[in-house]
Amino acid sequence: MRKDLFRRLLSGLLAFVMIFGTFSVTVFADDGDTASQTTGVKEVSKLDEIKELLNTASYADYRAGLSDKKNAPGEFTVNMADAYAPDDPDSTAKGVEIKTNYEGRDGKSVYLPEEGRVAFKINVPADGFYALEIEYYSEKAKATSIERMLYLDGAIPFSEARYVKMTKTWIDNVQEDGTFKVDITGNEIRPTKSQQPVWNTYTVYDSSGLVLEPLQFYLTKGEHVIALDAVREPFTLGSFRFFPYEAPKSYEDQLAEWRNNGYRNIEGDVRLYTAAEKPVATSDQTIYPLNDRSSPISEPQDANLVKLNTIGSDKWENAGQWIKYEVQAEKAGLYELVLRYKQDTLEGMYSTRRIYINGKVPFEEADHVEFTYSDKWNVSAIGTKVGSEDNKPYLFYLNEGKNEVTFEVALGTMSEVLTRVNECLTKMNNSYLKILMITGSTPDSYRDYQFDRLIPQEIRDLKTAASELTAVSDLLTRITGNKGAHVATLDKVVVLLERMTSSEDEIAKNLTNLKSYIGTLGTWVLESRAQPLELDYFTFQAQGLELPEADAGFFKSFAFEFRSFLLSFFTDYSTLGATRELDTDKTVSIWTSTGREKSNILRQLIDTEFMPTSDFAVELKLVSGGVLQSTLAGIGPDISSLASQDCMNYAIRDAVLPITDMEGFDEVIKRFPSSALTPLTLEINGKEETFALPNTMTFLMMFYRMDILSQLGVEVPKTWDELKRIIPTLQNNNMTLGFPSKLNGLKLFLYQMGGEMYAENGKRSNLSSNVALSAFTELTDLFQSYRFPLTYDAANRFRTGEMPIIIADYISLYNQLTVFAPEIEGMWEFSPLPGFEDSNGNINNCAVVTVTGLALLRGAMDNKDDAWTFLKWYTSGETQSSYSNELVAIVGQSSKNATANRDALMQLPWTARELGNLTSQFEKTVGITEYPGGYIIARYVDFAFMNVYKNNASPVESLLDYVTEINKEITRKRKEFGFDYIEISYSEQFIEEVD
Amino acid sequence: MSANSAAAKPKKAVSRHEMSKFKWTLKEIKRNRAAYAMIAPFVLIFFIFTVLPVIVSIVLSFTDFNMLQTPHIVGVDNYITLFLDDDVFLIAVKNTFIFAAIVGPASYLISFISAWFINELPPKIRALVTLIFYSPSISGGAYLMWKIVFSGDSYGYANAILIDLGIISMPIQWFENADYVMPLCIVVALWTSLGTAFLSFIAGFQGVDHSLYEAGAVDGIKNRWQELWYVTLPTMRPQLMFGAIMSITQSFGFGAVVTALAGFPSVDYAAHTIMHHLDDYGSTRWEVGYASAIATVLFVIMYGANALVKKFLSKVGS
Repeated sequence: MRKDLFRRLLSGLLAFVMIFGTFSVTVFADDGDTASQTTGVKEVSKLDEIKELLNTASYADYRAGLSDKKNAPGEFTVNMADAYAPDDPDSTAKGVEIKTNYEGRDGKSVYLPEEGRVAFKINVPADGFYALEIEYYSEKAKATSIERMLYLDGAIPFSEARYVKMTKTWIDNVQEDGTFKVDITGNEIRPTKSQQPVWNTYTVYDSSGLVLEPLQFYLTKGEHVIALDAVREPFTLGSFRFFPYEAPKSYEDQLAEWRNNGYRNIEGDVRLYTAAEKPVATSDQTIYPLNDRSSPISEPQDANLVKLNTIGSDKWENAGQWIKYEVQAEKAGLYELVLRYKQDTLEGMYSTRRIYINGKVPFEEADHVEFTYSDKWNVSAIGTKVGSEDNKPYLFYLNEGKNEVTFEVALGTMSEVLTRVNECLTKMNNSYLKILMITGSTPDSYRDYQFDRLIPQEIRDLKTAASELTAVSDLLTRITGNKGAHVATLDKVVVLLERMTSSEDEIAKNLTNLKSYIGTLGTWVLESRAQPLELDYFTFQAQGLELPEADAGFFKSFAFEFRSFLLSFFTDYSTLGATRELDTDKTVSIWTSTGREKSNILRQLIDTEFMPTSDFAVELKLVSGGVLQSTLAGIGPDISSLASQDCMNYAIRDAVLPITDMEGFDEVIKRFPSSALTPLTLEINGKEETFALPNTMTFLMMFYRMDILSQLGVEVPKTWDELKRIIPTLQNNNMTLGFPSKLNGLKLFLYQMGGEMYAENGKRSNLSSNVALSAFTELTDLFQSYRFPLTYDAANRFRTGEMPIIIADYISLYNQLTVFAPEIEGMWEFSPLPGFEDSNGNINNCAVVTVTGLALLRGAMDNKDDAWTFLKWYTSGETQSSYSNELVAIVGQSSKNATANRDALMQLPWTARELGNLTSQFEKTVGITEYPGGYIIARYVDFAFMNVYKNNASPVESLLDYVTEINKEITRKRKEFGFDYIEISYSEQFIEEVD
Repeated sequence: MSANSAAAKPKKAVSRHEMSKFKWTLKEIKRNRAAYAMIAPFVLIFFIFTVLPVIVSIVLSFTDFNMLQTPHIVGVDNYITLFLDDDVFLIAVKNTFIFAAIVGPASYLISFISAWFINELPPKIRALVTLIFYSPSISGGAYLMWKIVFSGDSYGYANAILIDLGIISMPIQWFENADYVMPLCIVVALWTSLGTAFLSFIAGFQGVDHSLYEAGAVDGIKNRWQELWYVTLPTMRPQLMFGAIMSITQSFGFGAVVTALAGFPSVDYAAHTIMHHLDDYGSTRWEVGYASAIATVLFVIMYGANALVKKFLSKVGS
């Protein structure tokens, strides 16, 4: 029942979404000036640009359209500093620099900043297809890959060229002898990673991995303009090498060639062992050594201690991510490559890697080495197929001395599967749209729509899609040898398609099903792209040597598990990571309730960054709740993170120490916007006192779906009036808006109208003022006239497109959408809030902040200077930014931290455009002082709001009804704590005269 | 005379009447020390974790304790404010009584009737059905499913069905609408109420000695109703008592479920019970002294209700 309704309400929108949802879109055109698009003209051009971007042809179509053209006869290299064309109209970037002999590269190179477009003029010697190799230097900056859009003669040649992603090089900061640091009990500590800026080359591939060979551009003889449009990160560009691409030789041919060259098989008991957890470099910060406890023979392993013994897993699953190793060979020759690996995620599927030896894929088969699913560890030589005995493993040629071995995530044969499924998706989408045009979003299952006569082609398409998907499902089953749950998804879609095409009556009946299955299939494609693989070690060894054991037997495993269970009773997990004995007398204790991973990151930061310079120990405890009780009992922490309201509750009861007079306070608070300090500051006994330093700060922003708005021809609203004008358009398309109701809505409007929540320094609420009443009326009017829903699942409705605009807390929705709705990646963004325009044309679009603060509790009375030193360190830009970046690296993109520190927020891996929007709202925020008794306002505003919403009561009267109650409570509270107050009588409502 | 009495003294047995009550008690304790030693752990725990908090709470109700600072004695101020100057408390009392009056007896009856029916089933099926009936109250937060059923979202089950049937066009904010909150909470409360009382009834039914039924038949019992009233119920009076106490405390102390469903505080205080009022002052406003006064009043009310029920139950079977 519920599903039915769900589908009906979605209307035709999802179809459009899904067509583009299957592309790996990452971000749209960046037109250079992110923060200041005020003119309508600019916006229109942006809409057009989005449309154009969405409609670019795919690489397959591009090649098909040029099928008669040939590969270029030869290669040529362009030094880009010479080709830089600053006068070209396409060159919009500011801060482009020409550098000479930069970082060890002879000659000139050109620095490209993280924003704007840069054009280059190149001369092509001959017609033909060219692959492109970029020589670049990854500048030390944020922890994300470099990303550019590539324009050829003013246009993006094919959609894949929108996402040219170049990786950075990351190294583990291990000790000098190559071992990991250990704590005092002997647990290995995960090494931090740092960016190693190096000159590197990158051959331009499809960043989603769907196109297996390098992308090739067709260039005619003569001059061309190539422009790079920045999406993320600055870098320095060396040269472009254009070359005709040739596929690697097959193994047979390559082996024959090696034999011809006189290369021999290695003889004897030679095993070149490389521990996978110790790479020389990785492409991402997230690829780091892991502690595997699932097998007693993972190397190294310990029943009690943490040993870092594997690498990869789900941190190493996106096409293009690589891990690089160095292998020392005593003798040059041909070796087998044996790996110990586990791929226990993609059930019924395989994970693919591309293997480079010394920078080259040695033969065609190494371009797509497949690792099939198993929930156990496996050991096998590359080239042997699971289940067959007579396979001869491949041989790899290693030079004498140092060899570089790189494993890169690739899609391999999966790319063909995915491309075919993508085609089916497009067909299904088309058919869906056509059917929708005939039936509307709620088809009448009893009506004869005569589909066979009206849309015979689309019905045939559905049939083709069904047989194609059957073929893909068979193919997958054949390759992997079993039918996993993953393949079953395809079969379910096939069943539906067959039912729909079996009889005309079934079409209307199953239309809503079709829509949800299109969604399922889209998700399937996305999931199948992930290629996780965990590696323990690999060896290059002489041919025919016996393979090492894959996993321990039952008794060994049992003994291991049992030992580690027993030992767990004797392990003090609280000292995990401590690298020296701590002086317990002067310990500063900090309590956090943020979860194991976050506290581990913080612990590690404390150990590596803070402890070396500190003369006291820091005790970090992961505690959920209990701060109040323990503070009361006198055994509480010195420092704890508190919501602003709690913080002030503690403060007026003398449980939090004021920090206003601490050393360096005036300097420290410059790190935060003043709005973040307001809720943590209160006037007590005639003195303004701040009671905590801001930890996190969140505020509302406007999320919108660019694709839908551009489809509807709607511009992104800058003011509430503009917003109101587009509501009818949205509602005509069965869409609505996500809007904060009740107190949050009131705060939004009240402060944008220039009002205040309190009057007379917190002695009474200001809700009876004209501005508050009109803000409340404005809010309730919106909800009444447009019937915005009060309760909704924002992420879900945003994803389906039912709510293309949502005003919501920026960090939680952003984080949620990143993981929850990958299929609309790049289709949405957040922008500053709309505001009210005054008569001078200024728009007030401030947002009210929600703050958590780090406070010194009264337990810190004896060592408050130490605690303050720690607090200063913790809230500093460097610490906050390391912490936030580590968090993203370890927990993932969905754990961006809403730090209140201005510098740290800028350092998070936002795109330049996101950052621009975020900063402009960040600086336009206001805080509300937490006066005693503030809780009562939320309560009664909610009551008043519901009264209007439900009973259509007059907003003004509803709110005024509660004002006296609110003021009485505030007065009562102020009396309790000895603040000055005003006596409230029912006769006086503090109503302003209306002019 | 004096010599006489001196000689008589040692011979005379110690009698209860010649000692003070205290002395007598001490003597008895000494005599039964093994039994006292055995009960001591329980008494200790019971005292520390149940009796002591009650006493502390009563003491705190005469102070202005604010959770973090040293309390001051304020006499009966808290009680005066509570009874004379707290409108919301009156709403809370009203709601609590409505709640208790409906949920208490209803859940008691439902427990009893379902236990009676289940008792008639064959043993194996009985065990299974008992588990099914008892499960809502053991599976902690299972009542949260009602939040999905009555979600204010147009995709909540109730709203979706009603919209689909064309009965309503806009989603109803079930738990944010003063008209619906109370009835819905009562329904959910009844759903979760087949708890301990229900189990004790089942135990009671099974503990009835079958020879009593035969004796009853000989004595002229004509039908199952008479059997129930004259034989079964009087035999299981302890379980009835236990069930009643459980039902009453439960229905008076009902709060968490309402908070989980309707939020805190519920809109317009529509489902605000004394428990909520207590919570409001205790955890939102951090006025523990006042909250203790509320708790003391609630304690007295529960105690009174229990005494009343005891009186009723003594009439069973007569």
